[in-house]
Amino acid sequence: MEKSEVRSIYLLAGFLVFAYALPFAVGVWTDSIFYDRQWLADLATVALSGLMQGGVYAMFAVGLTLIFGVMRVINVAHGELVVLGAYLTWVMFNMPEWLGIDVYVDPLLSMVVSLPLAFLLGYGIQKLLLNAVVGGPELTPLLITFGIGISLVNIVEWIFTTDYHTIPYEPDAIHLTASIAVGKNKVISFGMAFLISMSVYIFLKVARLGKAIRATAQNADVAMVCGINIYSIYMITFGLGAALAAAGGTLVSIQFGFNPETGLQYTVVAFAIIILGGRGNFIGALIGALMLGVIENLIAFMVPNGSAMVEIAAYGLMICTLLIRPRGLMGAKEG
Amino acid sequence: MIVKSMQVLITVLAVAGMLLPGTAWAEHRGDDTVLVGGALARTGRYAEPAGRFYNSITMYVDQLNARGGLLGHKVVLRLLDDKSDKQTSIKLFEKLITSDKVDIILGPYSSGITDAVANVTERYKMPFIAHGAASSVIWQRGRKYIFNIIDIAENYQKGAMHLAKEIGVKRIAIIGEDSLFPRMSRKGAEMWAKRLGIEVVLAENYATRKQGDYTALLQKAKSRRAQAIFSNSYFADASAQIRQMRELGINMMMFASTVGPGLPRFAKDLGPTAEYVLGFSQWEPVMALGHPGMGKFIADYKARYGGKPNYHAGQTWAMMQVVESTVIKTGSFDNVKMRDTFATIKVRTIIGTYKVNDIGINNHDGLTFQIQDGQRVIIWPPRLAQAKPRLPMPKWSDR
Amino acid sequence: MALHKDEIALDVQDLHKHFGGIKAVDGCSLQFPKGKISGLIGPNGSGKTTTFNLLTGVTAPDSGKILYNGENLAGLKPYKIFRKGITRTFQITRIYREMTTFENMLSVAGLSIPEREVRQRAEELMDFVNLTGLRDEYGGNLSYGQQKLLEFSRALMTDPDLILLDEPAAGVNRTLLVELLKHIHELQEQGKTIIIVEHDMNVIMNHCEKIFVMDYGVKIAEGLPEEIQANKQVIEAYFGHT
Repeated sequence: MEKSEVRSIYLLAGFLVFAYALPFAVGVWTDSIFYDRQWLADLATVALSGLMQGGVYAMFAVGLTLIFGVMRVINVAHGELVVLGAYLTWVMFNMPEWLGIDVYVDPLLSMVVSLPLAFLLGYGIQKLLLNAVVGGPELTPLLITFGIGISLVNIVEWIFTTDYHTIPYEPDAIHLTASIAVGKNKVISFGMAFLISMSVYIFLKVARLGKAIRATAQNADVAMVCGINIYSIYMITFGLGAALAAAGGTLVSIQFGFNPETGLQYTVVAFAIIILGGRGNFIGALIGALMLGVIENLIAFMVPNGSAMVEIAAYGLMICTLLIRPRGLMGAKEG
Repeated sequence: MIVKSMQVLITVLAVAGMLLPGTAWAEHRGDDTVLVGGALARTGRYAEPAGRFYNSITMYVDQLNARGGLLGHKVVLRLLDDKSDKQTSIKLFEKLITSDKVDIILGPYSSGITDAVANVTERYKMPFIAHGAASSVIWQRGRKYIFNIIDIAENYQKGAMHLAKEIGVKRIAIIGEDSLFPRMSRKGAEMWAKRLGIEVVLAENYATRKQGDYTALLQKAKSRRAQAIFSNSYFADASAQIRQMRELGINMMMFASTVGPGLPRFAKDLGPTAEYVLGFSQWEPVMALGHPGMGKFIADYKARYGGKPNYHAGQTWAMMQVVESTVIKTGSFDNVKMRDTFATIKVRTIIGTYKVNDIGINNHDGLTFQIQDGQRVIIWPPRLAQAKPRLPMPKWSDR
Repeated sequence: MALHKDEIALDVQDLHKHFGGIKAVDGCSLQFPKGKISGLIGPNGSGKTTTFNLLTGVTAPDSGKILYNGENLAGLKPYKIFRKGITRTFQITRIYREMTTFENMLSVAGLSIPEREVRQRAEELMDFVNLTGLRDEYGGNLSYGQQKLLEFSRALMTDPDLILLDEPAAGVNRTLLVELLKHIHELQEQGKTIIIVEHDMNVIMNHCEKIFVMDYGVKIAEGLPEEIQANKQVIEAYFGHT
């Protein structure tokens, strides 16, 4: 490793330590830290919940990073795909009731239908709209995904109106100790996120198609002369990214409220994460997601008016990473 | 020579007249119609409540035209979409007034947008009733062409705070979205808490974007030993908060939100989690309130849109009633004369009496309701209460 | 002079490629003999590498034909040409730096044999070029020569009939070069057609059976090594138009 490389990774690590220490320092300074058991339990609850939130973020981020890594396309419509996944889940959850049947479709089970649908949508988008422009000027695919995002918002709005929805799924608490609790749905979401991202990771590592995807990501020109049909890899990748986003949408739907406009915030979050973790790096996206989830909660918990500043966490991490080490924690060196 | 100069002068005046925002002669519209226009959020984060405004406005105009329009003119409605965005709204109102030359304007949704638009309408002397705004600060800027109809934001938590006092709450947390209206209702909540001798242990706003995780904020309230949470919130944030209180096993004596629980989806989507939650309402479709015209409005709305009107629909209907009465009393569409009528007229609407004070604020009393068995039930003020409050909230583990 | 149709592995007819105003390949016709090692030489910028890129689909020709087994390959995408049994290496090696040697071998697509056989084949080829010891080393950690061998053996994964090698000798030490040439001859003995672009005249003159010379995008000569060495036009192209 080059010297400047080593230095920048230490700098970034130092910055992250500083970033995590900051809310504590502010907490001490503003007297919002109480040195008792109760407070420590609250802190543990908050950090744990941040980790769980990070698991959901990871679902958006790995899809985005996969698409970027393979095609160098920044998918601005990623958050909209998340919301689409949430709506698919919500529709299936309510469908029996609309049909007058007294059962409900488990949101996790509905992924069996919603993920393939999202895959096909992503596959189609890549085939019809993006394949022709990948590898050209980077702005073109970006603008196309921007257009896709706006169209998706409007279509979803047209069908479902702008009403907020949510799914009351496993609403109770799991008490780890008397004073540390975590939502059941959060634990389930986290487990699901872990399971799905690990499956995708193993698929990329082991399966022949997975290897072809990684090969295309590393060097599309070489992949082509090694007989890989990169255009079909592109379609599969975008499909996979869309399916991951939709999985994230399902996890969002069982925890939070959503409406057609919710997507944008998730695009921002996913984007900050992949910058931190390293664009195109799968494991980096997972780590970045967990880190962002935790730090957002620490800020909200200890900094006065911290809840209004969580946006700063995402943007701040993104900007500082770009300044200190543009390739992020684990990304490949540019050029 | 003089004739020539006169001709030039007349031409200049005529051209200037066309360029200037003219509404006084707008009723001489060629096709003998009256143009009523405004911008409302059809998309964006305010689209749900504003959609109910839209329903009431279109239904009112249809009925108005069926009974002969305004002063014998057919009413043409032009409602544009401000996309829940302040800048867009400003542009649209500017366009409606100067280029479309509307005769009557209808206000937008949300205090923030109304406050911004009021600068435009004030400049062109176009009066309107701010049916989508409850922040009193809008009327503290010396404006003359904007009138209030609904209870002001400072009073949204008034009823809940009185109830908290009754059940012995001593320490509360006040949280809310970081935008104009929630900030005003926070200010009111803090004022009522002070007046009633309740200690505010946490007062914090959260980013507008944030719709997800409120764990940290709720834990913060808990770690400061708050006994009740007053949340100045809309649907997404309020529903996430109450859900996460349950997930975290955080027990409070009371959870009071402002706008969220008033939307029909709240109780439906959240199911049992929504029970015991308090909310604020400008009006409820409950005949016991005894305002004239309520029954017909509720029935018509239900027939046309399926489902009872909520208070957003009600207050907009009341606004249209005031507009109609004002035009009839004024006898013309002259904007300045209409303004004077708005300032003095007394109208009995379906949500109560409209009669503003000298700075344009109407003395409307809101209602505090509680979700009981999946229904919104009025519990405050006591004289209008449909049922006894079910407070304090039982512990999550006892439900 | 003229070869019989069956003796031609690749028949290139009147190939053109312009980049802006530059005529990189300007009406080139080449007939590579089947089962032999051919050399493609010429001064820098004469259009050799562009020709290679046209033959393997990396760039699409403006006009002309590339006939292979009676089929025109001109304008096909690289992965299609690859799947017809034509593979290549690059002047500057192109391997996946973040994959192991073994993964590099397995990344080749379009094989219609079971996974187990693919792995076995990869092991055999690594053994063939003495890379077995570096099986689990990342591509980026291999020496330049080892990367060349890896790229070379990867090009053999599909058991291709036609192999294009772009400057195999460049940056490779003597010992390794001898080994590489040994492998190339072994492949020829197996009946494969090999085309080499090379600057090292020793390699070309001692190992190629037929040589094509390009200059300014056109073929200026073809023939046996001794014929080329005696060709005035070739000498002029290399040593200047005096």
